[in-house]
Amino acid sequence: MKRILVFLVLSLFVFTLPLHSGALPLLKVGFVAPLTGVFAPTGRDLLDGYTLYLEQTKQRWGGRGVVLIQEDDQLNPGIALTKVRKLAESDRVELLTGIISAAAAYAMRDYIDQQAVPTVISVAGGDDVTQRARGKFTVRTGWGASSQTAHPFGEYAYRDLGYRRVATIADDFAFGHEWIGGFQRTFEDLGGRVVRKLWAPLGTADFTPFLVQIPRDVDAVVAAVVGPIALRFVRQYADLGLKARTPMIGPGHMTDEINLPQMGDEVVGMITVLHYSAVLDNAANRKFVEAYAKRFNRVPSAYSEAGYTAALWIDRALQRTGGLVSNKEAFMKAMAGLVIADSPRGPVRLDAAGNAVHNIYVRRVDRVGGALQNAVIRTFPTVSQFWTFDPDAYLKQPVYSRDVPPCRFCER
Amino acid sequence: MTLWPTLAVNGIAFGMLLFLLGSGLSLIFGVLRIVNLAHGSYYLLGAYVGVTIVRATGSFSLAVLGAAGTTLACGVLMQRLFLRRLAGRVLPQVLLTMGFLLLLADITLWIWGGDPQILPTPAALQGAVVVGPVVLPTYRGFVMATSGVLALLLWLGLDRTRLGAQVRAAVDDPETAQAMGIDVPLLGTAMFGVGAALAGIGGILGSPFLGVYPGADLDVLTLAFAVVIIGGLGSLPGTLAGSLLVGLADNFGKVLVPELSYITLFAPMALILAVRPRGLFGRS
Repeated sequence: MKRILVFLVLSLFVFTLPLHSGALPLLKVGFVAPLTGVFAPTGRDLLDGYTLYLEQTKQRWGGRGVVLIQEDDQLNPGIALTKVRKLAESDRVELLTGIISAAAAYAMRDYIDQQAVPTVISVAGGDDVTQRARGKFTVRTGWGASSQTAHPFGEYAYRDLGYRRVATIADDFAFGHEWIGGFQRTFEDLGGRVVRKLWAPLGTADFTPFLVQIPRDVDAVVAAVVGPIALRFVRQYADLGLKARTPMIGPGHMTDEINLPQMGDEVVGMITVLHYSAVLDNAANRKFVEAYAKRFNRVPSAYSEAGYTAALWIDRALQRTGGLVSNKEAFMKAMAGLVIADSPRGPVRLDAAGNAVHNIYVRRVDRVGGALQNAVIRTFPTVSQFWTFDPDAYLKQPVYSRDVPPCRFCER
Repeated sequence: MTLWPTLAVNGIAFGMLLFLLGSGLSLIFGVLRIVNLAHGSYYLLGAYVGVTIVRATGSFSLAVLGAAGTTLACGVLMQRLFLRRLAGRVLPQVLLTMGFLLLLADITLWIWGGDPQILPTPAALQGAVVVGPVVLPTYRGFVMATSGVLALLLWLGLDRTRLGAQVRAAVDDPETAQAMGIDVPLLGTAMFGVGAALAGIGGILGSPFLGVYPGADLDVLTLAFAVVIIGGLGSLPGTLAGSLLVGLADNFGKVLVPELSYITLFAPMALILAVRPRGLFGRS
């Protein structure tokens, strides 16, 4: 009896041996995002997207076991850089991913280039992350550039919504500047006029002093106030009786699936633009939303989708390189050459600068069965960060900022 | 032009909310000489408890009572069980309240999660009141009135009642007050609770237009300090003046000098610190 047991154990060992001897070591992937603080819900959704994909693939990408090492950057570029150093030097990760803050992305660029760690940015929208300040080992598979959704939306506002005179109000930081800049560019190219530009400090408590400065006779208010502050912004807008008078439009961040459950009548009918909506009608998204809701008991946001698709992206690239990242150039090439037809947000590929080219959706907040959702009402297919402009000419212009483009039609 | 009168009224309305946040801080300092860094945490706690009660029962007044009760209890326990042991030792006290700030932030995060929340405006108070050239959201008018009544009650209580006289005696000279038979430690605990409850009420009243989210405690603490430093720590009329000044400066500043939007809330504070460090109504 004993002998049989010994034989069994030994044979088990022998049978499993070949599996171990040829297999690649565990692939360590570093993940950096805000997991505490005001923006923690975005980091959580992002991480949950990765987690879902990891679980669905049984933690094997490109035939290789994968482990995700999480770090919290608290949305602070200095902390982000420290965490990236720790991941690269102490954990020896072969890949980096996550990254929600554009400031963090800029802060870690030089270090990443110097260490040559391929980095898949899944959110950080700052235009120049994939434009004038692009890193050699960086791609952005998630949100695309900040102004990427604004370019088509400016034309949509002019042509489809028929707006001619608008006022803008936005967070006074890079995202607000770049998004409003992109909108103003295409809106005014067609003949529209931005007659007032208001900038609210990040975290503004009371928006009333800004809201009362909006001229009465504009066709619409274009607003880019994002994150948790958007909740109080749209509420204060409605409370002043402005919603009944002047429609408000803006980036989809305002009514994302993190904010939406807390919102009510103040946003019903609001038209926004983004590369994703949880109610997007395609097979991959239906499957994704169902699996995500089952696993996390929530509706996924664009952050969740960004995490899921970034994971999918890395997996597909690893499949092409046989699980190897050691040849960095070959891996970056594999990443750049991918065309993902079945991501939840629709088809995605990367442009020459390593930024996602994907559909941009115009959505309207509808109440369906008591819950609010972002119903897709128009699709702009395969939109790049350069929209219809020539990339070289576009990159010669300065990046959008408070005064770029200048407010030629501003009235005071 | 409806702009200026609307700004003035909104400035006062916002200032009255600031009064709720600042008065507790000032009161606690006045009686106990404690700079309470956990003061913003009562806003957070009051708002979360209130939101939960509104969601469960649909009653806003019940939520106000619940928020006030919870923060009152929290303040009393904090003072009775911890801060009292450090009476008179300023630095350890400040550090302890700092600890409570972090602790309460984590506890609220643990219970309510990190998602930002905002209460629906109570149905009866939706929309805006238009009086002549002034547009005032009805709900803000309600907050302004409620804070005004609370301010009046506080002033009457401290200025016109026997209990108020005892509190003032305890502030001016704790030893003599104690010798006269006033229970100074008990008064201190009670005032700490009342101060915390004021911020808790500020939390529930503020949550339909400011919302509540992790980090709101620090935002509110900064506002409360701005108000109290202008008015003078420990002075109730000072806190009222400081609140109105900050509310009005914020409103007019953001329109007149938009380039300085970032500092309209804090410029009056910096100015006062430079010319009158004790605050407008502060005593040396």
